[in-house]
Amino acid sequence: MVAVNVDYETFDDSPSPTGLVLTVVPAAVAALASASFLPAVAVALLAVLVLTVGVRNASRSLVTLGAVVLFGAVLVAGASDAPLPFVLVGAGATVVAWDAGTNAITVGRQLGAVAETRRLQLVHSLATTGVAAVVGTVGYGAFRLATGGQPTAGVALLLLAVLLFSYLLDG
Amino acid sequence: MTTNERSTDDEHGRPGAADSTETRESSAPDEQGDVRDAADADATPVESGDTVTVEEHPTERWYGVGMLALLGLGVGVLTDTAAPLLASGFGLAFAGYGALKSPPPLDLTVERTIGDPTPEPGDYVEVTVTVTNDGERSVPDLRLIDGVPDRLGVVEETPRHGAVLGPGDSTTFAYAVRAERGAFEFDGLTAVARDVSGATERVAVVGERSSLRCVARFPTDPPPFPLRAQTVQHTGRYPGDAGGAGLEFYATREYRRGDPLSRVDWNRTARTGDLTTVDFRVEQTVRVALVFDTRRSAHLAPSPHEPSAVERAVAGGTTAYASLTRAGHDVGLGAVAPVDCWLAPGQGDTHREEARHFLATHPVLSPTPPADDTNVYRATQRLKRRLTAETQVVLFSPLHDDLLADTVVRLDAHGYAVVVVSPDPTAIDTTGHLVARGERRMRIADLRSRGIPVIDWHPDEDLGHALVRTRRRWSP
Repeated sequence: MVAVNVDYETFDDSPSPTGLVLTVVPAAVAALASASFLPAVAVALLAVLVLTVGVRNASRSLVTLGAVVLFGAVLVAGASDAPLPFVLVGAGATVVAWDAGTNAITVGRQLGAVAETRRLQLVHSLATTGVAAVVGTVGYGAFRLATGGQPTAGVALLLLAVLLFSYLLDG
Repeated sequence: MTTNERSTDDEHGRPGAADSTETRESSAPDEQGDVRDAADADATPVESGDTVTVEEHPTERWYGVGMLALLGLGVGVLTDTAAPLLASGFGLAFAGYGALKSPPPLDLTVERTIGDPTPEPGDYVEVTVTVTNDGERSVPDLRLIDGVPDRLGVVEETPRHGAVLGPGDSTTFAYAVRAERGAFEFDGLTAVARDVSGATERVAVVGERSSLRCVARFPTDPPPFPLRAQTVQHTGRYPGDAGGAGLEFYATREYRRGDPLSRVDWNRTARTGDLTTVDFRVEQTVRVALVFDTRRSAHLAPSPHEPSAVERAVAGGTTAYASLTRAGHDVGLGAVAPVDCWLAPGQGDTHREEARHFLATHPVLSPTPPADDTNVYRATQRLKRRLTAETQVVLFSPLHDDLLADTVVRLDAHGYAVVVVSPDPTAIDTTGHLVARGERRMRIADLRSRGIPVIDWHPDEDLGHALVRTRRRWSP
């Protein structure tokens, strides 16, 4: 009986390339959306890099960090008079990127890099993009309807109230 | 000598390997938990068809997204601009999105097809799994992990699959495992379903057990297996070292009263007038017991990737069984193991089938080392009770310790003719291994000096070759 060297498939729990693409593309869109303000776009590009590394290394913390920094960059660009649609697209794309990144990590851990997961991740990201698109459109519409009316502080308080209310509902 | 680690999961990517990687992120919120842990949790099982929902839990993956809303609010208020305020709406909306809980009810049917349910050891067996969504709602995120038996390694593709299943839809995936000797049972398939947002996860185990029996065939042309010289018991085909009735000329002797007339050498009587009787070499049936050393410590191999001594012993035993029964002997099977293990000597088609399945699937001969230690003395006593006085013993042991070598000596002293077949498990990579190798050689030399034949079977060698090599200096 001669020694057997069998080439067993090892379980590779890293996120699949699909997951990486689904994260990097919306993140790049978000970075582009903040392009009107140079420091913001620099930070945003750095955040895209952090997101990429995070997904590659299956690190949720890095993905979350990258997403928060990217969101911050988009907000700063918005604060320095970037066009409103750009800001909304950027913010939405950030959430989509974060969602795709963390989902890719989970899928990688449960199914591995080799398994067929393309459709699964695509459907998930499409759903999130759909929700983001609705939110962006509604936000933009509301802004257009009520242009120049309420002072910023008032709107802020209103949003805070809604946020607290949603948490109370959830609890 | 290294202990053979082939039964552990992580090294070869056995299906259980996902569990061992769970330590990777302890700080991050554990989003999905561990599938296996979840499957083991004591939740009330909800049955629906053959789907058993084991657990349903929130994944908490959207927790903290509200932070983006606060960030937006903060930047908006500080800079007195509207855009960040509106952007904070995303944080709000997704916090709500993540709070929606709508896990679809899981009603799945699994159909598993095994390419060849009775393969030969080493064959690649293709397994095809088809999962159908029998429910009325679509499952937007379905992750499937097939229940591959622990000891079977996956060699092609992966037993994991992700799918999106509409009502009535089905998905198919395939992978291949390498068949190992033994009987295997596939567990149910683990299905993890999430709602669209991924906020809730439902883990279910879907029935559909399949079995795989991997039984080696006996070699069609086994090499002749040597036994020790023996005096007559039953007429058979083994050329004994004694004269009597038979076919082959053995000797002539003086006529004694009672000798059959047919064996008197009448030509000689005509010539000399004396009565002479011709003796032929008697051919006899020998009862042989093939005994395997399957103690935990005997599961040794030169390297983790090579077959263990036990695995080789069983392969050698298969050859020996085929060879000896072909020669007309009654062959039985036994083991020096923690639990009793015995197949009485016999031959014929029925016994052959019994032996085939015994060698392939008896738990004592399993490639996985037993959990308990073996009391060699008691195991030997058990064996001796089973052996009739004239039974020969062929012992398969790596001879890695003195205990078994002593047992061989004792059996021999009690009059059992013992032949030892010793699969060599030693390696030469470290000093310790070299010492173990030297000690084993001395044990073999000691046994041989006592007149007990030992067949030293090297790892890269065919048993037939080892037999021929050893027989050159064989003195039965």
